[in-house]
Amino acid sequence: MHNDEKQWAIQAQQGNSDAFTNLVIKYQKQVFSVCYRMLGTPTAAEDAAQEAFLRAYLAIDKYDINRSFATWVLSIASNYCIDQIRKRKVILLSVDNEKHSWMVPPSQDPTPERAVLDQEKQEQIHALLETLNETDRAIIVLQYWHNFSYNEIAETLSLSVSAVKSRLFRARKTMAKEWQKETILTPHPAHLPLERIAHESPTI
Amino acid sequence: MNHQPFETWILLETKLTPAQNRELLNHLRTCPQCRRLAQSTREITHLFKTTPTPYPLPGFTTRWKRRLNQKEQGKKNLITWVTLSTLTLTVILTMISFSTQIPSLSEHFPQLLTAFISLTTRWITFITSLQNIFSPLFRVGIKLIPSTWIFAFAISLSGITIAWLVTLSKSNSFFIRR
Repeated sequence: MHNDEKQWAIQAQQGNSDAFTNLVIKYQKQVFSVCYRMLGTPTAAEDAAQEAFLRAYLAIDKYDINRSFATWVLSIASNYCIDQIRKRKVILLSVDNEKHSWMVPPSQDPTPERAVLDQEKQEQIHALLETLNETDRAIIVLQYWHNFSYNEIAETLSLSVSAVKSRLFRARKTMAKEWQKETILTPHPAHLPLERIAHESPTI
Repeated sequence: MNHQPFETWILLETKLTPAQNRELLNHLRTCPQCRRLAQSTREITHLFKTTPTPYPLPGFTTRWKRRLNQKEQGKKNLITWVTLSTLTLTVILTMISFSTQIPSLSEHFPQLLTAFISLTTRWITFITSLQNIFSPLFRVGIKLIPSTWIFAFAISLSGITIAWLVTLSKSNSFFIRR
């Protein structure tokens, strides 16, 4: 863990809320990203990210400073999102323009074509993630977007490594089937070559 | 056709030896199902990796701080309410326990009434004595002090009273507005 980060965590444990604010500034994008992928709308993601940081702040005494703060706070965020989905408080819908206008576009000056393409991709991702249950979705989000290893995912979601592998296998199979259905209905333009791509999986 | 271990290799993106890689490629040439699976998995990975990650709106930290303050204020309010409720409950319980004593009080009602009348009488006597002492002095003083001074004193006293009343009414309306 970075020294500054460790210092901020220690100061936050001593009751310095400004030190914790530095951690919020540093990790807001990662936490928001997890929440957005899990919940599907920027509004719900903002709310969940805020709540995750709030819970982290209130539980900062329980945080082990030798552990990665990112793993810890993302664990709080993903578990909160899982609870939210379970409680059916969040209605997962395909995203629309109004919801997207709420977000800052990642590129500073996207062309209209690029914006439309990005939005289509976001919709495809949401459609795929919606086919998974909340825990499998969290595993996919942590693995694809945050490059968590099997061990980190297991620790974050309180699962065994074998359970993570088995869920990942099942989740990817479900998404592949859904993808095939979609591409049969609307053929996907960008078919990639058949050769196996370099392995990007996290190692144990 | 047996799709294992190829399915696992494809879906878990297992690190393969060159021999395993060749074996997988051979299988993919003959198995359309695994080929579709491999292709879909690659396309999904490509989609996930190339789609930009959304960011929160600017001011996230400020909004978080506001939320934290609200939460802490809520906690303080809760503590206040719990304290007030406890006090109220204590008062109610005291009153209930006191009310059980009322029959015994009613038994002593004549004595209490006598004591009250006696106390009131003493107060009246005391005030009357004061009046008897100060009224001659006042009468003499009136004759000694010039009438213009008395008039000026009465006017200034009235002014002070009016100013006090105005201040009071303003401060009341201020608190009502708050």
